Amino acid sequence: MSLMNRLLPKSLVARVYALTLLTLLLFVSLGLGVFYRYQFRGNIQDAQDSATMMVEVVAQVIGESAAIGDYDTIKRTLDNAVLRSPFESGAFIDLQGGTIRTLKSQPPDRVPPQWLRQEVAEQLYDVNRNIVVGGVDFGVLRLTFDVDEIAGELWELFRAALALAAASVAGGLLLIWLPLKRWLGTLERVQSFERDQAQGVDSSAELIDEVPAEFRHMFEVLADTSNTLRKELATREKAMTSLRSLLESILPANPSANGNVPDDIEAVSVLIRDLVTEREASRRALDNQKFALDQHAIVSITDRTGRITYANDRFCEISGYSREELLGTNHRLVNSGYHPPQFFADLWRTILSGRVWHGEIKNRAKDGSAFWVNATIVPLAGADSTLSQFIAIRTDITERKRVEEELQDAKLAAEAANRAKSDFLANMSHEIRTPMNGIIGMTELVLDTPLEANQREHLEIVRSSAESLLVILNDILDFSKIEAGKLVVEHISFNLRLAISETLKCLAIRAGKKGLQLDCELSDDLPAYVSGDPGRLRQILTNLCDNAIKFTDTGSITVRATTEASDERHCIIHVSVADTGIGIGRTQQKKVFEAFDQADTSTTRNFGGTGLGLAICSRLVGLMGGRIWLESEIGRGSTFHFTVDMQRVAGEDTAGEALPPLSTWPDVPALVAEGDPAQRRSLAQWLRAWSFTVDEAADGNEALEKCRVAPPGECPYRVILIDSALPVLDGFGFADAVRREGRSGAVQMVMLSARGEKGDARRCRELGLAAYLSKPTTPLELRDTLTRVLAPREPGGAAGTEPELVTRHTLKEHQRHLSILLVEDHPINQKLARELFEMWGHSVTLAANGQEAVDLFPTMHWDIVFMDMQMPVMGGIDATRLIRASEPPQRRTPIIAMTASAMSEDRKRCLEAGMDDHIAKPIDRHAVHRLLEHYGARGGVALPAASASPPAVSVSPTAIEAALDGLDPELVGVVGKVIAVHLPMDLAGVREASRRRSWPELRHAAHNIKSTFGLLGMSDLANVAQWIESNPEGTDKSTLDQLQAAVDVIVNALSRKPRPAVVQDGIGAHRPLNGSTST
Amino acid sequence: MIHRVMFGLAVLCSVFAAHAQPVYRFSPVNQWDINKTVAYWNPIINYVSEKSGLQLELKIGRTSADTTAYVLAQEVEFVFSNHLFSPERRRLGWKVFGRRQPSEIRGAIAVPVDSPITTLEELRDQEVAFAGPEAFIGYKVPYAHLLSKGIDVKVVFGGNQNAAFAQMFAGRAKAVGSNSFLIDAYTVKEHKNFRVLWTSEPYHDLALMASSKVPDKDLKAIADAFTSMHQDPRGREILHRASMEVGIAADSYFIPATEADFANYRRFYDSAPALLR
Repeated sequence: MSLMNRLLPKSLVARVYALTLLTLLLFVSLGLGVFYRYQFRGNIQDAQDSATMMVEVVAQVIGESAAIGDYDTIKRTLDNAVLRSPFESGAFIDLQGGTIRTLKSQPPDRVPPQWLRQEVAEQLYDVNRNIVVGGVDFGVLRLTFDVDEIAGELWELFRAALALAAASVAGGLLLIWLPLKRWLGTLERVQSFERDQAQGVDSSAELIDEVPAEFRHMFEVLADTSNTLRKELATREKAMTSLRSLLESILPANPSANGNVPDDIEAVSVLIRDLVTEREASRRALDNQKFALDQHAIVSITDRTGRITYANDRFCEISGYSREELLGTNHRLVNSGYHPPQFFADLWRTILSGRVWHGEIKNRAKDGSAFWVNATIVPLAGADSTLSQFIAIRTDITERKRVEEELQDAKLAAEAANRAKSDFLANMSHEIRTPMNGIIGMTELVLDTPLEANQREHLEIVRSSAESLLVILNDILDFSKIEAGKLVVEHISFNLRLAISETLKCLAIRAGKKGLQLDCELSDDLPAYVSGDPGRLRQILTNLCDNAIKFTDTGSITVRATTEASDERHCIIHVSVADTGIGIGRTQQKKVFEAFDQADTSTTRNFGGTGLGLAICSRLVGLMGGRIWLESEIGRGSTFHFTVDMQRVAGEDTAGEALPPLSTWPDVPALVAEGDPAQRRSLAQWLRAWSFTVDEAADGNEALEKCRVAPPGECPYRVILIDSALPVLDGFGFADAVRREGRSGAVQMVMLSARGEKGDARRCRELGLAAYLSKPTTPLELRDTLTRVLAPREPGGAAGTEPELVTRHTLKEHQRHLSILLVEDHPINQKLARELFEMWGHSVTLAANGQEAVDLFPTMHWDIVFMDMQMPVMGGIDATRLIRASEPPQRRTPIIAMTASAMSEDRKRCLEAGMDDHIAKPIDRHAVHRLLEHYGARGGVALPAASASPPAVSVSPTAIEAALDGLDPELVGVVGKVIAVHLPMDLAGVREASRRRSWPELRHAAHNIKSTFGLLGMSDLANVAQWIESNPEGTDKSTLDQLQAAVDVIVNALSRKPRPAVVQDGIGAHRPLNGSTST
Repeated sequence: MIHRVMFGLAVLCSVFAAHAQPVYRFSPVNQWDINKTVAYWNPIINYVSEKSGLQLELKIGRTSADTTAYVLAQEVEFVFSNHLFSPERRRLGWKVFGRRQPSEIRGAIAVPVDSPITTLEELRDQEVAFAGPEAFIGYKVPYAHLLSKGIDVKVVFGGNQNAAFAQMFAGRAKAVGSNSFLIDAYTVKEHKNFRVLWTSEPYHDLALMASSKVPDKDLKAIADAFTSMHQDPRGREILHRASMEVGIAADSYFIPATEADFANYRRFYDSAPALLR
């Protein structure tokens, strides 16, 4: 077909003409062919027929001539026969072979083509005729056809026919061409027809008249179709314009279309299809959502006035009203009256402002029953953007409300029960710990007195049993709290290194007693101060170390602490406790952190314990954001690891502030001779923090070589810290070598021993060592030791006498003697604490309850206050508040709560009341000692040193007014009037005492007004009163006048303050707040 | 030298002998038409030439009379004809050496099967087509019978037998004279059925004849080639195919024959009207 298309002319006229030509040629050719065959056969047949006739005629003559032997006649006969005949030659052949032959003399007129001659020759054979006369054969007559003549005639005829056919074809084609061009050319003029149509000229009728009848109908149809199409096109163009306008109005809201309306109808169709599809999808989705919403929610729609315009089935169902009853009715129909008018006023205000309202409403059904719904009311805007209706979507929460009420009741009951349980737990804790406190404390006191051996042994058993019982008790209580979710970890700032070191110090003694070495390796990357729960950290560490000591017979225990990961705010502290003990089997390792479990049941029998320790550790670590795990091998020991998440404390430097920063020794050369790299690093770090220039040596020989750098008789170091168990050359050997080389004159050598042995102190004295400390030592202890050994010799010191060897004991002896106010009602605790404090050289004043403490507090300076929480008359919380209220702003005496309460709320209350720390009862002597070291070293916040003249007094009314305005209005309202009455009276007492020079009275009166000024936050005036209290004899009139002016301003200002809506009796209830009446 | 001369003479003799090898012309009577006759005889002649070692050349005339003309003009040495048994022509010296088996044929006069003519009498003065005046079984025997019965007919010669059949079925003749063999073959070939009105006594069909000029040796070689052809598988295959071409019995072949086999021809001529001698 494609070949045909290529071959065919493009023009229709040419195609028709070509078809006509082909047809003519085909038929003319066929005609010629038929003509040729017919003529060919006819000519051949004619030749043969004439030959048949002629041969008979000639044979007759020749036969007669042959019978008589007249060959001449035969010759002539043959000549005549051949002449003007279709034969070329004639011959007579007699029986003897003689031949008479004659040939046509004339050459052929026409020369036929060879193919035609060949074809004719194939059809014409020689004509033989036996010449028989009277039954006797005389010979043969043979005539040979003139093939050229016959073929020539045929050829001439054929050429004439061919010429005629060609002429006919040419003429026919010419005749066909002209009308064909005329008629079919009209079709080409359709172009002008189209052009005219485009120009609005209707030339169709004229054109149609010209076209042949066969095409006329088609052209008419075409013209009609064209007109129809033109009209439709105009209509579509109009529709397209409308569509474009419509789309332009729609598309801006359709971001995907970017507001551009395409020009072509296909793109517009696609766009419209997309829009319709999208709208349809949206409508379907909306229908689905509405259906789903109706299945789930109670839906109603109201107009602006609250009249219901739509209510779904669920609304009808829950309200009990039919739809007809609801529609057109105000929504107030289901108002239960439960909610106050303000509730609905707020609701209407919200939705009328165009905002969505959420809430729970109690409605009333038709039958009077109430039902609760959780409602969302959405204001809907109309076409003019004004609010026209509100749709309320509600879910039935009646059942939930019912359950909530039941739950609320149950919760209240449970809370009451829980409070009772908590109180019971607290009381039980208190009641159990107090006698335990007494047993342990008294036993320790007795043990500190001279005893016989068997008595000491028995008492040791008593103390050990009591401590074991206390551990068990603590474990059970802790576990109970953890299981009840009551245990809350603290977040207080503490010195991490110090906390670990202090904890291990006590444990080291215990390990030492068992012949074990307790090593501590604190990584350099540990932060100095962190925020966390030091008590719980200490508890975990103690528990793990206790276990290590318990299950290790020989070898050592190593505690390592590093920072595993950290960022600016947090750090993960990784602590490990490795021992060389019995180890734990692989199967048991999975269970050790489970409650009431030990490595095996026989363990408890062999080593004791509740089996709760590791479970508690595990829970505590979890509470502190960490994890705990262990690595262990039977017979090789165990390593317990735990991590805790601590918060970094901003502003605390990691190096210097990690250590007590009271003293520095700039550029004093020091040598740390320590075999253990971690301990050597820790010691060096501490020394560098105190500004020493530090050198390090890993063994005795290295240390000695470093000393030998200096000329003989000298030592390059001012201080040498020596590990008693130095490798190669032990500590004592090294000290001996230094001494023998005469280098010990100016150097202070401090021996650090992991395992104190009898005679160590004597050897130290003999070798001229300055101090002897047992490991692990704490930075505080080392600092105090260095302070003492590096201090200049006292002028009054006996010349030539060796300085005293500084030990842990001498450090304690030289500790500051503190003035302690012990507030405790329980006789046992009173006695225990008093004797403990006094044993350590501190002076103790006892207050039996809070009131006594409040009364005693202003009478003198206290270094620290130990405050019981639960006391008759006045508890520790109230007493602390009153003490803090009466304290001058510049001074803050440490108040330590002593509480048997295991509840964190109590501790929180303590801190909120103004206490600084707490200690659990029964009193642990080590804990108490740590607190005394910590707070006693600070010595509280000291008052300004007494000066010769009192501080200047500012009586600016503006400043006083500002100070009063800054106070709590309620406080001013409650106590303002009392102060306005009593403050002038107290000042008058001061004046009177001063005039009479009665110094105790003056101190007392000054103390009163100091408390009042402190209560009012006027620190300058409080300082003046304090100065008078401290220097009663130096008080002059001008100072008292300045105070008088200030008091006048205060009284006037207070008088102008509005009276609070509190009855006068309420003031009495707050009597302790009034400083004037507290003493 | 002598040897060389002898060798040269031998070569010349062999070349001369090769050039002296005669080419015999064989003209069979055109029993069908030229194309079929050529199709039948050419493979056989080629085979015989190959077998006999003698070159035979086919010479076919347009009519059956042409073979006789070739004989009279001494233009052929071998013929397959029965035109030479008249007393005059017997003097030409041609010898029978073979015939085709089966070769028993009869002269017959037939009309189309649907012709109203049922007896010879009804042919009186009617056109009767024959192959040609030289046809013995197809013309002389039936026409002699008509003459002997006093039935005068208008003789029409078709030139060959197929032409005579065609003239009858074209309506130019009421009946046809032929040999019975050719009537049967035409029926099979052209699906034209005949009603045979009369048949003659049986005659052997054409005879393989040789001119007296042919040496006996060559004649024997050629005669042996013809007569043993059916005993050779290849010759039998050629015969089979050739027979199929013209519609005769597929198992026809050539066997030796003598003048005695054609004695009834002589008897015919002895009693035949002078017109047909």
